[in-house]
Amino acid sequence: MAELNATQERLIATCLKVSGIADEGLHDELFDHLCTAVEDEMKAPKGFEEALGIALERFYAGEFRHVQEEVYAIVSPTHLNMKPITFIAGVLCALLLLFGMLFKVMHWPFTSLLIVLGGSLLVMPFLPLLLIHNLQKAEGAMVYGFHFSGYFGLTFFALGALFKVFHWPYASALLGIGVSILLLFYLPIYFYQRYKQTGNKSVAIATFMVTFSALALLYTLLPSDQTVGSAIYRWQHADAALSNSFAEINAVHSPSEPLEALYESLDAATAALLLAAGHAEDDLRYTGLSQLEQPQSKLPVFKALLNNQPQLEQLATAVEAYQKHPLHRGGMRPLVEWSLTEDGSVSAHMVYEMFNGLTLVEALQSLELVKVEAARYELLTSSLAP
Amino acid sequence: MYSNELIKGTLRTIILSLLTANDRMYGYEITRHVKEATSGKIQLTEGALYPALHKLEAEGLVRTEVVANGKRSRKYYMLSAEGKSEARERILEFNDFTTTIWRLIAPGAPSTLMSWLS
Repeated sequence: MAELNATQERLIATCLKVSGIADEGLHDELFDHLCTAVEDEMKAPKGFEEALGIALERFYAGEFRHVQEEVYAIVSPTHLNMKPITFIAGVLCALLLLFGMLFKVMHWPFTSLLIVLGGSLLVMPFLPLLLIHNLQKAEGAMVYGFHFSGYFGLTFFALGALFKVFHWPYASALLGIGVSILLLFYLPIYFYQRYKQTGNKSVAIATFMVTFSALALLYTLLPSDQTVGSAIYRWQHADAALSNSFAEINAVHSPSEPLEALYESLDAATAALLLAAGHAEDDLRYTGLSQLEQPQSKLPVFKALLNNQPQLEQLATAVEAYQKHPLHRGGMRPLVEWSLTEDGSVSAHMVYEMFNGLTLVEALQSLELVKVEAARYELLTSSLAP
Repeated sequence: MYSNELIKGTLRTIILSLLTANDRMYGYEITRHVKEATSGKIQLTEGALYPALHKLEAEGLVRTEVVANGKRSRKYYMLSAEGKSEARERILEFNDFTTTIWRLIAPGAPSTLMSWLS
């Protein structure tokens, strides 16, 4: 059997070095393989150069590094552990989200924990592992674009959905970014690939149109101009009549001291409500009005009044002082719910109950109405006074 | 020469089977043996062989032994206890598979190609 001399072995070693084989063990193994292959060819008999040429040509078209990448991809701990981890993370995440939704619907405890855990598992280990797994087989810019757009689109979408469920800020912005990436990059690339592969082009186009439209519908979840600001604007305009009545009454009647105090207190509550609505814009900037008007969506009211004991007490004190004044004894319609006690005393809890469950617009209207009705009642009683 | 798809699907079985018949083999020896035994109809590429060998090693189905050979070092592969049992299963599975395929593509024929030809 022909044996290579030191120079020939050095030449083969140089070929391997140039090819980019960095792993020492694999280098030694491939070096022995190549040397033995060349020696085998030289038995033919062939010259060294010709034998080396044949061996190199057969050796995966000279792409040694490809062999190294394949070996790395197969035996790296990440690869060996990734499939089970991806699988377990995927199943866990699906189960947690499913039970989280069920618990939320049933108003059972630990809902938040389940949803946050499920969402976190989806965003953190599952999607990145899936991306790594897919990239290992990916070739070409388009396939890379497909996988990356899918990853980022789904990640933003999942985060947006999670934020939306918890009414955290920027939920719709995240959803918007996610849906946009899926619509503008992921879907077009996916369907372009299908279009190229399928024999039935028209079905591919139709499927694309339907999917694109369906996904585009998700934009309805996104920012609406019907926001807190527009709710306040609507309240201001709708209550023009009340404001006019109030101005007319005050033009002909000087308010008593308790009424002045009540005005101040109601104005302070209104201001607090508007301030809270302004602060709530971060939370509700992208919340549609339809959602804002639902009983559960009363964040500004909660922040300004229900969660504000001094504000409640101030209102209660002002209403009680008004109720106990000789001019107002006997109560009046808007305040009747606050004067259930026989002696006309009003507690902070009564005021709380009055506003509990009201939306932002309803709370603002209620405050305005109390103000007008209190003024109107005093005008009436003062005109009847002997 | 058979198509890459056919070879790819049977590579693991081929390696395990060869290592069952031989105590230990090195990479080039496997390619040469396969080429000679199949009259060149199956030629394993190094790009397929080494990843497969390393995967078997990572899974603990083969053990390795590096033997210095002058300036070179030669890596021998041999079956572990688990590898022997896996090899048996793979060979039986492959035999069953070829029989099934043969029945599928030649209904009514004897169960193996050899018996049909004879």
